[in-house]
Amino acid sequence: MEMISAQQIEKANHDGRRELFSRKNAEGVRPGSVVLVETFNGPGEKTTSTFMGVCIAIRRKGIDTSFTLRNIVMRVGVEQRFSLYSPLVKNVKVLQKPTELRVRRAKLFYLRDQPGKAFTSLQSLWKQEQLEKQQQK
Amino acid sequence: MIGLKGTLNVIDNSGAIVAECIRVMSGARFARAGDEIVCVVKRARPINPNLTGQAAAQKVKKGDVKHALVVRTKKEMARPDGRYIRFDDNACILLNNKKEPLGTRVLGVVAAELRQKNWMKAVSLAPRIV
Repeated sequence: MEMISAQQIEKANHDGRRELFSRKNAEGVRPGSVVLVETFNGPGEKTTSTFMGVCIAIRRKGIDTSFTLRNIVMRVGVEQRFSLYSPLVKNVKVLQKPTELRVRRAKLFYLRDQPGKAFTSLQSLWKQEQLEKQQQK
Repeated sequence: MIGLKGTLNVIDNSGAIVAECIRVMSGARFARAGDEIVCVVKRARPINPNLTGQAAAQKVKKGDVKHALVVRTKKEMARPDGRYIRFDDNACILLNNKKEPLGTRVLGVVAAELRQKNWMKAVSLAPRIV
Protein backbone atom coordinates (compact mmCIF):
# COMPACT_ATOMS: atom_id res chain seq x y z
CA MET A 1 0.00 0.00 0.00
CA GLU A 2 2.79 2.33 0.89
CA MET A 3 4.52 1.54 -2.36
CA ILE A 4 1.40 2.33 -4.32
CA SER A 5 0.97 5.60 -2.47
CA ALA A 6 4.62 6.50 -3.08
CA GLN A 7 4.25 5.69 -6.78
CA GLN A 8 1.15 7.88 -7.04
CA ILE A 9 2.96 10.75 -5.36
CA GLU A 10 5.94 10.35 -7.69
CA LYS A 11 3.64 10.63 -10.67
CA ALA A 12 1.78 13.64 -9.30
CA ASN A 13 4.90 15.42 -8.13
CA HIS A 14 5.87 16.80 -11.52
CA ASP A 15 6.91 20.25 -10.34
CA GLY A 16 8.45 19.59 -6.98
CA ARG A 17 5.50 20.39 -4.78
CA ARG A 18 6.23 17.49 -2.49
CA GLU A 19 9.45 19.21 -1.44
CA LEU A 20 7.53 22.37 -0.59
CA PHE A 21 5.54 20.49 2.01
CA SER A 22 8.31 18.36 3.40
CA ARG A 23 8.81 18.82 7.12
CA LYS A 24 12.56 19.20 6.67
CA ASN A 25 12.35 22.06 4.19
CA ALA A 26 13.00 25.38 5.92
CA GLU A 27 11.72 27.29 2.90
CA GLY A 28 8.65 25.16 2.63
CA VAL A 29 5.04 25.67 3.56
CA ARG A 30 4.39 25.56 7.29
CA PRO A 31 1.39 26.63 9.38
CA GLY A 32 1.55 30.41 9.48
CA SER A 33 3.31 30.97 6.18
CA VAL A 34 1.67 33.13 3.53
CA VAL A 35 1.04 31.03 0.43
CA LEU A 36 -0.17 31.87 -3.07
CA VAL A 37 -1.93 29.18 -5.10
CA GLU A 38 -2.74 29.36 -8.79
CA THR A 39 -5.40 26.97 -10.04
CA PHE A 40 -6.69 26.26 -13.52
CA ASN A 41 -10.34 27.17 -13.92
CA GLY A 42 -11.33 23.81 -15.38
CA PRO A 43 -9.87 20.45 -16.41
CA GLY A 44 -8.88 21.57 -19.92
CA GLU A 45 -8.59 25.30 -19.48
CA LYS A 46 -5.47 27.41 -19.40
CA THR A 47 -6.95 30.37 -17.55
CA THR A 48 -6.03 30.56 -13.88
CA SER A 49 -7.36 32.09 -10.73
CA THR A 50 -5.16 32.89 -7.74
CA PHE A 51 -5.82 32.73 -4.06
CA MET A 52 -3.46 33.97 -1.38
CA GLY A 53 -3.71 33.37 2.30
CA VAL A 54 -2.18 32.27 5.56
CA CYS A 55 -1.79 28.51 5.78
CA ILE A 56 -3.75 27.47 8.86
CA ALA A 57 -3.73 23.70 8.47
CA ILE A 58 -1.76 21.03 6.64
CA ARG A 59 -3.26 17.56 6.47
CA ARG A 60 -0.61 15.04 5.54
CA LYS A 61 -2.11 11.86 4.10
CA GLY A 62 0.22 10.88 1.27
CA ILE A 63 -1.53 11.50 -2.02
CA ASP A 64 -4.47 13.14 -0.24
CA THR A 65 -2.34 15.81 1.36
CA SER A 66 -4.27 19.05 1.55
CA PHE A 67 -3.74 22.47 3.07
CA THR A 68 -6.11 25.25 4.07
CA LEU A 69 -5.49 28.91 3.36
CA ARG A 70 -7.32 31.71 5.11
CA ASN A 71 -7.65 35.28 3.94
CA ILE A 72 -9.87 38.27 4.64
CA VAL A 73 -11.61 39.37 1.44
CA MET A 74 -13.70 42.54 1.69
CA ARG A 75 -13.94 42.17 5.48
CA VAL A 76 -15.22 38.60 5.27
CA GLY A 77 -12.95 35.70 6.15
CA VAL A 78 -12.61 33.14 3.37
CA GLU A 79 -10.95 29.74 3.74
CA GLN A 80 -10.07 27.45 0.89
CA ARG A 81 -8.81 23.91 1.13
CA PHE A 82 -6.58 22.74 -1.74
CA SER A 83 -5.45 19.22 -2.55
CA LEU A 84 -1.71 19.39 -3.06
CA TYR A 85 -1.43 16.82 -5.84
CA SER A 86 -4.50 17.92 -7.78
CA PRO A 87 -3.69 18.43 -11.48
CA LEU A 88 -5.76 21.62 -11.36
CA VAL A 89 -3.33 23.27 -8.98
CA LYS A 90 -0.89 25.05 -11.24
CA ASN A 91 1.65 26.18 -8.69
CA VAL A 92 2.07 26.84 -5.01
CA LYS A 93 4.36 29.61 -3.88
CA VAL A 94 5.45 30.69 -0.43
CA LEU A 95 5.36 34.47 -0.11
CA GLN A 96 6.36 34.85 3.51
CA LYS A 97 7.79 32.48 6.06
CA PRO A 98 6.05 32.19 9.41
CA THR A 99 8.77 33.96 11.42
CA GLU A 100 6.69 37.14 11.64
CA LEU A 101 3.74 35.27 13.03
CA ARG A 102 5.38 33.27 15.83
CA VAL A 103 3.03 30.31 15.69
CA ARG A 104 3.32 27.57 18.26
CA ARG A 105 0.62 25.26 16.89
CA ALA A 106 0.18 22.95 13.93
CA LYS A 107 -3.40 23.99 13.30
CA LEU A 108 -4.15 27.69 13.55
CA PHE A 109 -7.92 27.56 13.86
CA TYR A 110 -7.72 30.11 16.67
CA LEU A 111 -7.06 32.74 13.98
CA ARG A 112 -10.76 32.57 13.12
CA ASP A 113 -11.59 34.27 16.43
CA GLN A 114 -8.38 36.10 17.27
CA PRO A 115 -6.69 37.16 14.07
CA GLY A 116 -4.38 39.64 15.78
CA LYS A 117 -1.92 40.96 13.23
CA ALA A 118 -1.90 37.81 11.14
CA PHE A 119 -3.63 39.27 8.08
CA THR A 120 -2.25 42.80 8.04
CA SER A 121 0.67 42.05 5.75
CA LEU A 122 -1.37 40.24 3.12
CA GLN A 123 -2.42 43.38 1.25
CA SER A 124 1.14 44.58 0.73
CA LEU A 125 2.32 41.10 -0.25
CA TRP A 126 -0.44 40.91 -2.82
CA LYS A 127 0.61 44.26 -4.32
CA GLN A 128 4.22 43.13 -4.39
CA GLU A 129 3.18 39.97 -6.16
CA GLN A 130 1.18 41.94 -8.76
CA LEU A 131 4.19 44.19 -9.38
CA GLU A 132 6.45 41.21 -9.92
CA LYS A 133 3.98 39.73 -12.33
CA GLN A 134 3.82 42.96 -14.29
CA GLN A 135 7.60 43.14 -14.45
CA GLN A 136 7.77 39.57 -15.66
CA LYS A 137 5.42 40.36 -18.50
CA MET B 1 -26.09 24.75 4.85
CA ILE B 2 -29.03 27.04 5.49
CA GLY B 3 -32.18 25.37 6.71
CA LEU B 4 -35.34 26.36 8.52
CA LYS B 5 -34.60 29.12 11.07
CA GLY B 6 -31.16 29.72 9.61
CA THR B 7 -30.16 33.38 9.82
CA LEU B 8 -28.34 35.18 7.07
CA ASN B 9 -26.92 38.64 6.63
CA VAL B 10 -28.46 40.53 3.73
CA ILE B 11 -25.70 42.12 1.71
CA ASP B 12 -27.55 44.22 -0.81
CA ASN B 13 -28.97 47.72 -0.47
CA SER B 14 -32.62 46.65 -0.17
CA GLY B 15 -32.77 47.85 3.44
CA ALA B 16 -32.88 44.48 5.18
CA ILE B 17 -30.07 43.57 7.53
CA VAL B 18 -30.86 40.08 8.82
CA ALA B 19 -33.13 37.50 7.23
CA GLU B 20 -34.33 34.15 8.53
CA CYS B 21 -34.88 31.23 6.19
CA ILE B 22 -38.30 29.65 6.27
CA ARG B 23 -38.17 27.43 3.23
CA VAL B 24 -35.59 26.05 0.83
CA MET B 25 -37.10 26.27 -2.65
CA SER B 26 -35.42 23.24 -4.16
CA GLY B 27 -37.21 20.93 -1.73
CA ALA B 28 -33.98 19.87 -0.05
CA ARG B 29 -33.43 20.21 3.67
CA PHE B 30 -30.58 22.70 3.36
CA ALA B 31 -29.57 25.41 0.95
CA ARG B 32 -26.03 26.02 -0.23
CA ALA B 33 -24.63 29.02 -2.09
CA GLY B 34 -26.53 29.53 -5.31
CA ASP B 35 -29.80 28.13 -3.96
CA GLU B 36 -33.02 30.06 -3.66
CA ILE B 37 -34.79 30.32 -0.32
CA VAL B 38 -37.84 32.05 1.09
CA CYS B 39 -37.00 34.22 4.06
CA VAL B 40 -38.46 36.65 6.55
CA VAL B 41 -36.76 39.97 7.16
CA LYS B 42 -35.91 40.03 10.85
CA ARG B 43 -34.13 43.36 11.00
CA ALA B 44 -34.24 46.19 8.53
CA ARG B 45 -32.83 49.64 8.21
CA PRO B 46 -35.30 52.36 9.21
CA ILE B 47 -36.97 53.84 6.17
CA ASN B 48 -36.47 57.58 5.96
CA PRO B 49 -39.95 59.18 6.07
CA ASN B 50 -38.72 62.00 3.83
CA LEU B 51 -38.11 59.51 1.06
CA THR B 52 -41.24 59.19 -1.02
CA GLY B 53 -42.53 57.33 -3.99
CA GLN B 54 -40.50 54.81 -5.86
CA ALA B 55 -37.40 54.85 -3.69
CA ALA B 56 -39.38 54.14 -0.55
CA ALA B 57 -41.41 51.38 -2.20
CA GLN B 58 -38.27 49.40 -2.99
CA LYS B 59 -37.00 49.25 0.59
CA VAL B 60 -38.15 46.29 2.64
CA LYS B 61 -39.52 46.42 6.16
CA LYS B 62 -39.19 44.07 9.05
CA GLY B 63 -41.55 41.14 8.68
CA ASP B 64 -41.58 41.08 4.87
CA VAL B 65 -41.51 37.63 3.32
CA LYS B 66 -39.22 37.57 0.30
CA HIS B 67 -37.35 35.16 -1.88
CA ALA B 68 -33.61 35.32 -1.51
CA LEU B 69 -30.48 33.86 -3.01
CA VAL B 70 -27.84 32.42 -0.72
CA VAL B 71 -24.42 33.81 -1.67
CA ARG B 72 -22.10 32.77 1.19
CA THR B 73 -22.24 29.93 3.68
CA LYS B 74 -20.24 29.18 6.73
CA LYS B 75 -20.40 25.45 5.96
CA GLU B 76 -17.71 24.51 3.48
CA MET B 77 -18.83 23.87 -0.08
CA ALA B 78 -17.10 21.46 -2.41
CA ARG B 79 -16.00 22.72 -5.78
CA PRO B 80 -15.93 20.26 -8.68
CA ASP B 81 -12.14 20.24 -8.72
CA GLY B 82 -11.88 19.03 -5.14
CA ARG B 83 -11.37 22.38 -3.47
CA TYR B 84 -13.45 23.38 -0.48
CA ILE B 85 -14.41 26.94 0.27
CA ARG B 86 -15.85 28.37 3.44
CA PHE B 87 -16.82 31.89 4.44
CA ASP B 88 -17.08 33.37 7.91
CA ASP B 89 -20.79 34.09 7.73
CA ASN B 90 -24.01 33.25 5.92
CA ALA B 91 -25.20 35.89 3.48
CA CYS B 92 -27.97 36.34 0.95
CA ILE B 93 -29.41 38.88 -1.44
CA LEU B 94 -33.15 39.44 -1.76
CA LEU B 95 -34.95 38.63 -4.99
CA ASN B 96 -38.17 39.90 -6.50
CA ASN B 97 -40.93 37.86 -8.19
CA LYS B 98 -38.95 37.64 -11.40
CA LYS B 99 -35.89 36.10 -9.69
CA GLU B 100 -33.92 39.28 -10.11
CA PRO B 101 -32.01 41.01 -7.31
CA LEU B 102 -34.21 43.44 -5.42
CA GLY B 103 -31.44 45.83 -4.52
CA THR B 104 -29.24 47.62 -6.97
CA ARG B 105 -25.90 46.94 -5.34
CA VAL B 106 -24.27 43.99 -3.66
CA LEU B 107 -21.84 44.78 -0.86
CA GLY B 108 -19.27 42.10 -0.22
CA VAL B 109 -17.74 38.99 -1.68
CA VAL B 110 -19.92 36.21 -3.12
CA ALA B 111 -19.23 32.59 -3.98
CA ALA B 112 -18.52 31.50 -7.54
CA GLU B 113 -21.30 28.93 -7.27
CA LEU B 114 -23.66 31.67 -8.44
CA ARG B 115 -22.09 31.63 -11.85
CA GLN B 116 -22.36 27.87 -12.10
CA LYS B 117 -26.04 28.00 -11.25
CA ASN B 118 -26.73 30.77 -13.72
CA TRP B 119 -27.51 33.73 -11.48
CA MET B 120 -25.93 36.09 -13.94
CA LYS B 121 -27.59 39.29 -12.77
CA ALA B 122 -26.37 38.75 -9.22
CA VAL B 123 -22.89 37.90 -10.50
CA SER B 124 -22.74 41.12 -12.50
CA LEU B 125 -23.59 43.19 -9.42
CA ALA B 126 -21.07 41.48 -7.17
CA PRO B 127 -17.90 43.47 -6.44
CA ARG B 128 -15.82 40.37 -5.82
CA ILE B 129 -16.29 36.68 -6.53
CA VAL B 130 -14.17 34.01 -4.91
